[in-house]
Amino acid sequence: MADNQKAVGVSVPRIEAREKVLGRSVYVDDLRREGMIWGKVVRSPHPRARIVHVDVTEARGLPGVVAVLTAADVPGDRYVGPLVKDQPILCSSSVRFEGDAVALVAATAEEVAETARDAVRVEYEILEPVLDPIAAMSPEAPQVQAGGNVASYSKLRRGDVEVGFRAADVIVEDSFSTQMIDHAYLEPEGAVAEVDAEGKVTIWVCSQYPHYDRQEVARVLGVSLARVRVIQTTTGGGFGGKFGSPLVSCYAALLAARTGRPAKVLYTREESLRTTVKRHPYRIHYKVGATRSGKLTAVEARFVGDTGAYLVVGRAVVGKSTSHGAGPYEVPHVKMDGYAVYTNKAPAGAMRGYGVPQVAVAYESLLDELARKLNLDPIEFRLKNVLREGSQTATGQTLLHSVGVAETLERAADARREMTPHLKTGKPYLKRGIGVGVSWHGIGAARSPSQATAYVNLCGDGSATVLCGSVDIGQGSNTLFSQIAAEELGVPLDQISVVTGDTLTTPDCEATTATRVTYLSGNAVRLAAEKAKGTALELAAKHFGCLPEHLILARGKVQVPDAALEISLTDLFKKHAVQQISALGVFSPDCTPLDPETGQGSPHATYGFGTHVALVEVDQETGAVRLVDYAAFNDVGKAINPQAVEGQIEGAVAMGTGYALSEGMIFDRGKILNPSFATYLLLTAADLPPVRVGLVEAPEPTGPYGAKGVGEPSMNPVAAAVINAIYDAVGVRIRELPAVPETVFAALKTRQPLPADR
Amino acid sequence: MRSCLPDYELVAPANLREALALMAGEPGAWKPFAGGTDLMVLLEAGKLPHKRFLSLWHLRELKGIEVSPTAVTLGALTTYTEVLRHPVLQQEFPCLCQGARETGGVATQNRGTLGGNIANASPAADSPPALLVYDAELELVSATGSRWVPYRGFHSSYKQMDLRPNELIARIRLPRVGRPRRHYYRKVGTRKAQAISKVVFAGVAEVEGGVVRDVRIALGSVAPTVLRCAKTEAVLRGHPTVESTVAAAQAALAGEIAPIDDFRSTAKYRRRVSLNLLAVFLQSCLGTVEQGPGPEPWYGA
Repeated sequence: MADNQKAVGVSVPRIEAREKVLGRSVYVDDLRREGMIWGKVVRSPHPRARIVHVDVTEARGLPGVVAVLTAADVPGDRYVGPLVKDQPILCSSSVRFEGDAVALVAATAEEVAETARDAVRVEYEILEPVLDPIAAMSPEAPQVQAGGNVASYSKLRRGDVEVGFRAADVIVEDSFSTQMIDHAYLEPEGAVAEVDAEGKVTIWVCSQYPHYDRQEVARVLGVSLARVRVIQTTTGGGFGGKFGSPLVSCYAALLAARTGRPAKVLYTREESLRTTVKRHPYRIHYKVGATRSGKLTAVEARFVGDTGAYLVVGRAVVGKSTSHGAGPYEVPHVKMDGYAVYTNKAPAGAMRGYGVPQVAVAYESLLDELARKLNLDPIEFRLKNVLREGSQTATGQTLLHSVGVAETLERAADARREMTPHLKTGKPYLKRGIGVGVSWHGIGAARSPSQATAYVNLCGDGSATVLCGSVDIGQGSNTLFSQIAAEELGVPLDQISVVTGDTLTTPDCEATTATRVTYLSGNAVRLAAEKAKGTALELAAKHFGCLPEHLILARGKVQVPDAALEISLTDLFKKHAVQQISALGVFSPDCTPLDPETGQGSPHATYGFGTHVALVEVDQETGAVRLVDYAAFNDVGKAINPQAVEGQIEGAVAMGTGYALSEGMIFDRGKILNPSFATYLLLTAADLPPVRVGLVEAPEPTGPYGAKGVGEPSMNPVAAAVINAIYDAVGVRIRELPAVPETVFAALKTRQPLPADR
Repeated sequence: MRSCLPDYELVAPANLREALALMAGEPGAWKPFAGGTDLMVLLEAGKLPHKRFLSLWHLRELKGIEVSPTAVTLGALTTYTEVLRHPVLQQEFPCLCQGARETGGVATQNRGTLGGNIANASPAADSPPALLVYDAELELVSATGSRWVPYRGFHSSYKQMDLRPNELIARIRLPRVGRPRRHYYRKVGTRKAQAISKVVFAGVAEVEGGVVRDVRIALGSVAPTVLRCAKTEAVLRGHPTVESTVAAAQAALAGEIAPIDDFRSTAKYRRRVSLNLLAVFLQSCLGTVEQGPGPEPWYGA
């Protein structure tokens, strides 16, 4: 910005904050179109069954019903999926989880659509579901998918773990399991579709990746991409769960295409909890060795991720576990094996952390065990092993820059010191403890190539529009793009308009996932703005007869600071017959894909790091755990909007503590028992202390202004810190998440036997 | 799946007499609707069996807290927020205030009522164990008159109670004791607000020279109804709170409660935690342990 006021590195309110607070933001549920119909999905009540017969006669005959569709009515491809097309949008022969879609109804009123949904008669032959992922891996297990239940296998081989374990003085080994959780965003999935006079389809949908929704809608309708337009509506949270919303988009599109009327499909909370993607539950086994002096020698691990009925992104999630499973540490010998396995449960997909929180809680638990056996302080032990500039990761990638993990640990040590006086409770049954968790996360998806694209249009008055495909899902990227463009173009924030998430006008930037938007799309916006500015300065240089590098652009004027000369962009554009300056910015991170046999490569251009410290209180009479204090240190490279980064971290602590202590889908023979927020227990404001956030900025030279990202690195260490704190408080190791009171209570072996147990 | 609102009918009588007349005319046809904090959950889940509702919310006859020298009498429409802010209740009936504070969240506390909580008859309800240990009495009214019954024994079995189809709960009376007592209340849930309890424990005792002169114990979530534990009380009454008494009381309590497994907890956990909380309560009577940890008032009200 002009007058030495910077836009980057300054806490600014979200550009859409006022609209949201006043209730003016338009969400899918707010959309009404003339003549709109309501769609509802007929879903299987059984986790595994063969469809014998579908009778739609009664539903079709109800007054107000305008469509009842089954698989046979799908004009194009029937299967969708980002990696493998294995999920039928409507099942025709069999259902693979409780909630699998069988038919689609639409009516002139939502209530009528619900009645029609319940009037579709489906006859099933119920089959024994495959529920345990380990049992599912056996060749004798019933097959969830035709290609077998082992959906993917990813490996990492570095050095020789046998040699590494021989060199170890202490080895620890243990098994862990983590649960299925939901993203639990406030806004459930929904879409509205409309067909225009030319037969083109427009979809409004809350989504993290409208261009992917467009691909699937076009395939399912059997039309070209150019005939489908997807517009992202204000999105009330995503966290990976709306990594594309292809199913709900396809349902609305199918109904609109079939009936010619605008159609809305909006999931209920129950539908969202029962049927949309979840975090992969994991079975984990780790073996870790270290020398007496505290240097890690070898890590060996095996992960089984339960991907449910469909793969979605399961292969990539488990791949992230294997590439990140040795943590942000130098380990000479590493062996990782990860499997994504099909079962008859709701499909697991992307969720903040993407396979890292699961393995971090297990690995960091064992690092604490090692530290204890070595009689080393847990933070000092980690400091002996963490990655530093010049270190090689387990995938063989040398990190030259921006490795701030040691600093996060050092600051964590200070926070722990501040917490120590609060360890006393004054009550014998209340015990407190402090735990530390460390983790990392590669920025962007682990593959190559990957790119982000943005356009900047610089207007004659100095203001500019930014067009970028990366959508804001509540995390604040539109504000960030404004800040970057304002910084480059020398104007206040309100002189920048950001357009995102419309496939007709914005370039495909891939999904708002993988902690990639600040780094990839932020760079694309910066490059485009820089290029637009460069063009303006070149025009002005001709005008002034000087070199462009001697000029500055600020508040719509090009200035020659040395000579106190200036010309407005308006005059400059007029002089050169230019209406506006449009520039394209493209950014592609420098990575190499992982070798499928060894897992070696440089999958990410840069990494985010974090060390978190939790102080918990355990009630030994009940097993209840309370989070008393929390400090989070994350290396984000550069905080472009510090307030937004703090918000991300606070949210991650709430989400991660819920993962550690309370959340989980509860199943009975493959059926979810708790599909509501009254029974799926998110933690509330009453359960969480204020989070002390400490930002570490180890600048990433290839990032915009040094920035990396924070979405996932802030989530990954939380459960590890909480679980380690429970151990510190009461000396029990929780190996099964969540640490609900029953689990902690059962682990507390110290209690005297009580009369009822005799 | 949400229920369809147009399927329901709700009337709001101007006064109690009209409400009771409506109920007398068609006994059982009209479901009383007070704060609605339980019924609306069923509505959202599509599991609300009743179609016709009688709104009580504006009936002034059922509101207010009266304090006399011998009792505190609460209108059935008294909200949890009114309970937890009342100075006499805070002083003499702290378990009830604590129960109110731990019910739902702030919105539930502003809207939910004690009478509604009793009539909903959940075995996991948070305030009823406190009402049991304070020997609450209920006034039940109909078009033909009123009767007072002890709250203890009001719930006969799961969701069953001594309330006729033409009757409403009008008032709840808590006798004032005037002697110093030890109070202990503890709700165990997975989170601090908006949680259904795994175990609720309420206890009140008069202890003199280390001997239990009188004691009342009630639990929630461990039986088909909220439960007053008379056998456990009998083991304790007149005995010193020494270790052998505690053990005997725990044995009695283990025989008195009948917890089950459900998705919120397990029978085993509920049983053991109930016995632990009894021990903490009895230790607190000796003054060796303070009252169990309640939630801090986090909403600043």
